[in-house]
Amino acid sequence: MNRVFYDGELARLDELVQRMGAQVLAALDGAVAAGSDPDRELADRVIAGDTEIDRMEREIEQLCVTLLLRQQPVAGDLRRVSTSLKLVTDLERIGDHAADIAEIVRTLNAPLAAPLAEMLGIARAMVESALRAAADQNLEGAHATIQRDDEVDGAFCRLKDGFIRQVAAGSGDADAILDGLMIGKYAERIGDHAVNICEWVICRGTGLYHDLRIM
Amino acid sequence: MNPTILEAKDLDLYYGQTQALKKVNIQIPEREITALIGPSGCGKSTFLRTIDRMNDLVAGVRVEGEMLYRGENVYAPGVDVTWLRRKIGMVFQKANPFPMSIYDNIAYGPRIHGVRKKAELDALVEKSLRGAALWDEVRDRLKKSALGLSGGQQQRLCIARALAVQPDVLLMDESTSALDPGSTMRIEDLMTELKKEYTVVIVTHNMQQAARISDNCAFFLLGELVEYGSTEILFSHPADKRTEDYIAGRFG
Repeated sequence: MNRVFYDGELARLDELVQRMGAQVLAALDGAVAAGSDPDRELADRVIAGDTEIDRMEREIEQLCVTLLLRQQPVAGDLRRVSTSLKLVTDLERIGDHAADIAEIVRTLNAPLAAPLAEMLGIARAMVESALRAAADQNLEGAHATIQRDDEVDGAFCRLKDGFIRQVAAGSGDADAILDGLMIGKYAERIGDHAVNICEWVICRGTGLYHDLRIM
Repeated sequence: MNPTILEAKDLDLYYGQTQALKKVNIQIPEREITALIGPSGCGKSTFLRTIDRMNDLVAGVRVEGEMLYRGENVYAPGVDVTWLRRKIGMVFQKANPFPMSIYDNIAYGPRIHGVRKKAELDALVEKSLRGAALWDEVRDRLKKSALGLSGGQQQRLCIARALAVQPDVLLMDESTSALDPGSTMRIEDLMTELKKEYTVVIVTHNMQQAARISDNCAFFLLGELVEYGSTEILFSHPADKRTEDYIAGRFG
C-alpha cells in the first residue's frame, strides 16, 4: 500500500484543525458566559487562552508547510493542505474576537443585553456548523452556513439602529452603547470569518473560490 | 493553445499480440511543452516513439490509425523516414554522445544532410551549442572529446546535436532522469527557452517536472489516454480519479 505515512499526516492535519476549532468554540462560549453572568475570572481565562489558540495555528501552519515541502501535494491533497493553511487564519481571528469580547465583558457590571446575546448565539452556531462542514467536507452544509450570515448582518443593523435611537433621544449610557456596538461588530466579524471557513471548505472540494477556479 | 502540429487519430499499436496503445486521440500544439505521464508500461514512451517512427525498428510492431505531423500521416506510404527524423528529433534518457570531438558530434547530422562548407558548419555548431546553453562552457575545447563532458553537459550536447539539423519538434524521453538537480534545472530552463522556436514533447516520471515546465499534460494508463489538458488543471483538479490517484502517488 502506498502513502501510509503521507495519509497519516493528512489525517493529523484535519484532526489538528478540528481540535483548534473546538478550542475557539470554547473561547467563544467562555466570552459569552462571562458576559451573560458577569464573571471577570472567566473572562480573564478566555483572554489568557488565546495564546494556546495562536500556538495551535502555528503548529498547523508548520505541518502544512512541511507537507508542501516534503510531499509536494497535488490535486485533492494540494487543495486540502492549502485550504487548511487559509482556514486556520480565519479560525485564529475568531479566537482573537472571543478574547476581544472577553476584554470588554470583564469591565461590565450588567449582563449582556438580549439582542447582543442572540447575535453572538447565531455567530457561534455559524462557526460550529462551518467546522462541522469542514470535518465532513460537506459542501451543502458550507453553503447553508454562508446563508446564515444575513441573519447576523441583519441583527447588527437592528442593534446599531437601536443605539442610534438611544443617542438621538439622549438616553442611554455612552459607555454601554460603545461597548455594545463593539461586541456587536465582533459578532458580525465572527460571522464573516465563519463564511470564509465555509468558502475554503467549498474550495477544497471544488477548486473554486467565489466561483473562480484557483486550484 | 497554439495551432496543432501533431495529432494522433484512433492510434493503435501492437507489439505482436500485445496492444500497447489503444485508440489514442490527441492534439499536440506547436511551440508548447507537452508532457506524457503514466506508470511504467502505460504506453507513453511507445506513443512518443510513434511520432518519429522509432518503433519501426522493433520487430513485430503494427500501427493502425494515424499520426499526423502538420496534417500529414507519418505512416503513409512514401514518407521519407530520414526526413521525418530530421524534422522530429529525439533526446534519450541516457546521454549518448558519439566517441568523437564536441564539434564533430554537432556537425555529424548536418554533414549527413550534405552541409560541407566549413564556415556554414562552424555557424551551425555555434548556433546549436548556444541553443542548448552549452556554448560558453565548451567554446574553447570544441576539438576535445565529447566523452570528457559531465553528464549534464553531455545531455545538452545531445540536445545541441538534435538542434543542428534544424528540427521542428523535439521529443525527450526521460532526458533528465539521470541528472543531478542543478543539471536538471538547466535542461528545464533550456526546454522553456526552446519552446519559443520548437515544439517539445517529453516523457517523464517526475511529476514535479511535468508540473513545473509543461503547458499540457497527457496521462496514459494501460495503453489508453485517460486524460489530457492544461497542466495547471490536471495537477490541481483532474477530471478522472485515476489521474488523481496516479499523480498523488496512490498507485504505480
